[in-house]
Amino acid sequence: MTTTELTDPTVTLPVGDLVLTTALPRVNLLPPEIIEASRLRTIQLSMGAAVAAALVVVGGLWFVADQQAQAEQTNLDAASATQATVGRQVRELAPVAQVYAQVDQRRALLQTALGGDVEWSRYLTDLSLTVPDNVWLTSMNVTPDAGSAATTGTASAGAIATITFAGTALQHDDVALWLESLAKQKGYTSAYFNSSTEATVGGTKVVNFTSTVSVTRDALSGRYSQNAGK
Amino acid sequence: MTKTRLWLVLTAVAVVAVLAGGWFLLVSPKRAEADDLRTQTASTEQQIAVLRGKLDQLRAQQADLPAQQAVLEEISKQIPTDPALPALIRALTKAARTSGVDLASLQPSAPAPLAPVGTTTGTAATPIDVIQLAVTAQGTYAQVQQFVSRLETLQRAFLVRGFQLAPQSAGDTGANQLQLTVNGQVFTSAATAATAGTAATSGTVAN
Repeated sequence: MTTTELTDPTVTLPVGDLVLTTALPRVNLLPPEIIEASRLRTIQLSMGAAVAAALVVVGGLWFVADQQAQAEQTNLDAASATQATVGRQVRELAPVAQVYAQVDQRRALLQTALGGDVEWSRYLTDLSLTVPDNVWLTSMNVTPDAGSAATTGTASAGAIATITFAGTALQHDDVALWLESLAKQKGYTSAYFNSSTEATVGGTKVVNFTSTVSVTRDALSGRYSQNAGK
Repeated sequence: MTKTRLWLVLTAVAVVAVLAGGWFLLVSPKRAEADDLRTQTASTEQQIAVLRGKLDQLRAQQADLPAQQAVLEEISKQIPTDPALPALIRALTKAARTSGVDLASLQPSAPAPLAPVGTTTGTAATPIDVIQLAVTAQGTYAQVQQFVSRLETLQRAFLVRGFQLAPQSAGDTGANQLQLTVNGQVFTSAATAATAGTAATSGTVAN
């Protein structure tokens, strides 16, 4: 089917002094099927281009992601190499750590074994200086409490040892002085006496006494504690 | 629906399919891979930081290593790995001689596992054995005090658990002579005590 268009294009014709401009009908002689097919082909090409563009976009995104992955892989490889190097250096110094661990372990052993150490020689020295006049000690017995403080009547809670003294004094008041001097000693508590009995020695009236005192944790020397020697 | 419209729809579907398929099948896995690698890198760097801290600490400790080895050696002398009774006897004899006391007797027990504080048996696992040692000596108060002081400062750790101090029994000579009986403990590292203990001599050494 032939189509006729009357509006365009225009034609200019000289007629005497006049110039006539008139529109000529444009005639498209292509069959509509051809036109439709042509339009469809154009659309198909455009659509193909769109799909291709989508592929390009996907490819571009994949490329960028791949580049990032490669960069991250490079970073990881470098970090792994550094880790291996530092790890090897740490392993090379492992004997140092072992020595320190052994020292800590041995110190803990020392603390376990000797945590209850009391410098009794110092107490013996102090004792010789603090025994009141008119009091003479005849015997001394230091007994470790070993966790039995709760079951004994005389030992105070937390006591690590009990000392039993036997001695002689001129009178009962001297025994009182003796108990007071015991109570003043650092690490001693619960100074107590079991008996104070008059007796005669060589014609002189005296008092025989026995007393006890509990030794507290304040008396511990701490020489073998964890921090000692550090 | 015209062919043109059909093609438009199909194309739109194809484009969406390509974009979605490309994203989910290609781009997203690659991005996930990159994220995973980044996470691994971060984790590795954290481990490196920890290792570097440890390395710095070890290098600092290395500078003090001789002192630590000396401490270890000192502790090994305080608590040897075997009973070392001959050395102990000599040390006690020397302490008695320098203090002026007469060392009357030494009575060690067999090594036994050390009971932790608060228990009465050695059933709890402590890698240390204890040898109970009763030491009897005679001397003046000052000599006895000196002897106890020397016991406390022996190179081998000697724990004075308790003691008795009493006038020397009748018949012995010397005024102001006291008899000291020390209930002490020495220790061995239990690592080898099981075998060493069998070789330990248990008995009384008397003058």
